[in-house]
Amino acid sequence: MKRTTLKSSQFRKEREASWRELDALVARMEQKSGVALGPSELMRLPTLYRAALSSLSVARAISLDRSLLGYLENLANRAYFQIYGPRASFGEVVGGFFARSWPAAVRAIGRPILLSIAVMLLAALAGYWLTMADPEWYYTLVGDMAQGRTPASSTEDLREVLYDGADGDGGELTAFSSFLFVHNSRIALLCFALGIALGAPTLLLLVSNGLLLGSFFALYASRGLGFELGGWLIIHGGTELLAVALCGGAGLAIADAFLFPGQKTRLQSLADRGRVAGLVALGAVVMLAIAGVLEGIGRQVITDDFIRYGIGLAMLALWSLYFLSGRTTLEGDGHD
Amino acid sequence: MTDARLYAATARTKTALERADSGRRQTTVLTPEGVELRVELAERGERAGAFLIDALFLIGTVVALVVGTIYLMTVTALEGYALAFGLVVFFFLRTFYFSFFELIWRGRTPGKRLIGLRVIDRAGGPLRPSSVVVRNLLREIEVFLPLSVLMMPDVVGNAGLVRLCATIWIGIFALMPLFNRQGLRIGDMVAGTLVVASPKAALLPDLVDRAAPHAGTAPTMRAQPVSDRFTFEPQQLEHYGIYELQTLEAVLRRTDVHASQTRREIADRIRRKIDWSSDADWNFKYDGIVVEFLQAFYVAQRAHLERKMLFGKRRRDKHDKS
Repeated sequence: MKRTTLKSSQFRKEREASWRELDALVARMEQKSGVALGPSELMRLPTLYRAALSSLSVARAISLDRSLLGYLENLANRAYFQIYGPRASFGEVVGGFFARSWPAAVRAIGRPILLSIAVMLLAALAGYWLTMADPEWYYTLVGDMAQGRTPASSTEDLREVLYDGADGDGGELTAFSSFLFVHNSRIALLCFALGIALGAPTLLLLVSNGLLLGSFFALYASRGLGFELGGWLIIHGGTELLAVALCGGAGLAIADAFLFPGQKTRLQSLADRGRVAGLVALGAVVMLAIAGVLEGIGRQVITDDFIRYGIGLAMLALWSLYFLSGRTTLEGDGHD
Repeated sequence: MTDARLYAATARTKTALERADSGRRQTTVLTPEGVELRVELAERGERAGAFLIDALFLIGTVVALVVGTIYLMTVTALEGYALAFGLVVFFFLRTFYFSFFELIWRGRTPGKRLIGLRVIDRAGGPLRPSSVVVRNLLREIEVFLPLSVLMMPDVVGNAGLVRLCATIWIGIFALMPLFNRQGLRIGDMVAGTLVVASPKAALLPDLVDRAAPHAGTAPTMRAQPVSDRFTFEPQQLEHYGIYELQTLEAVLRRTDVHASQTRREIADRIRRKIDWSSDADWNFKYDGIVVEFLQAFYVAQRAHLERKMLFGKRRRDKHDKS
């Protein structure tokens, strides 16, 4: 039998140069991410990548050279990682997030968010009524959370808490703000992440938060300080509670996707919804940072009830406008 | 094969993921171009290793941060600002360390980079920034929550029972990678991602072109065309399939000390199996001759099998009679 030229080895000879070129480009991208390539090389990259993919398909059909198949598989993999890794720069990601993705994500899971707002409101009402009916409930629902403010405190003491702090220096107020921000963000992110546990812990967190709020309000209302407490709370609370509601809604959205996947597989449904919910939770961190500043600094410095109400309600209006006015959806954008 | 056994066999192939040469389990992702890429799943140990490296980096940074903050608080008059700075930086480090690196390094953190792992989209599309953020936000309940449960103060009555329940419940989330074939953690499930190993393979010379692939043992035969001193009849090529061919390829590429011994044995076995004989008197004690023979057989066998493949017949191994 005569020596034959193998089709597969002929094939390799014809294509090898382009594989090596792609290999070199990818190797450089792996070393330095992003801008390691010049414009002409960036133009070559997709062509070379597609050529390598087609080589891989052909090689699978005609070649039995295991080293070659392994190499092509690996090269296609590495090029794929580079090409389909997160493409946008960090700045672009942040810009796109605030301009489009975040409000669009909030709209996309609007129903779970409304549900979490409703749960919190109902719990607050329940806490209010319970405490109004029997002040003993306060000790159960709020306990030590309010730094010694209990039904046993005098009305004067309760009033004082609402307006003191204005004499604190800038450093202390900043520290207080950042403490509030960090603490609240942890709770909010936990609220989101626990959605995976079928949403039960998320609901629990929302309910206990609402009960606490309602009961606290009842204490002040019973002393005729309801309006003043409202200002004290709403200046930051509008933003903060909305952020908590967003995280709660995000957690409930995950639970919903897991429990009721519909036509999709459970994993697919989770992945689709999880990304959207995560965007919402991430944005809530930003809101909590703003709320932290409003609470730690704004509330301590501003002691006029009407200005407090003004700022709080204006923030709420701004958030609603921001979330609800856009029309873009997450689909087809690809830039989330 | 009875129906039941057939069913059992298909069920088995469904549950067992194919393994790559490296021993890692493989899975496929469909690229947007419509080509199925085989990716090697990262082993759980590798992932744990990468996480430990990252955790060490994080802890180191946090220790430096705490020392810096305390220094600023004691030495300067800016205690409040220093504390605020420390708190916020700590929060951002903890929450966004992984996301930040996975965004700027295309799915890798310092730990993953050192171990050679990478995050990809499970469906084969581009890895989206939102996936990166989500998979890392879920670390909150996988890592930080279990830690705080372990350090939970005994405030509740019946603390032992409470702690046990909490530990079991949290453990389900923290240990999720052990409970599924692809080693997905909760974060991967919610974000639709997959962690794969990204090894680098070199393109070895084609055995069809080169005579002696292992430099050193037979220097005179390097870079020569395959010998036509050994020829094979078509029926002599009907004994083996793709599996044997690729095993032979691996043996021919071996360069270790036992390689020539192995090759000699294989050459003997092949000659017996295909009933090969020659007019000339070849001394199969020399590795050079053995390699030359095996290589000629490899080329002939590969040409034969590849030709059959073009007609749609893939003979998997010597037991495959199709």
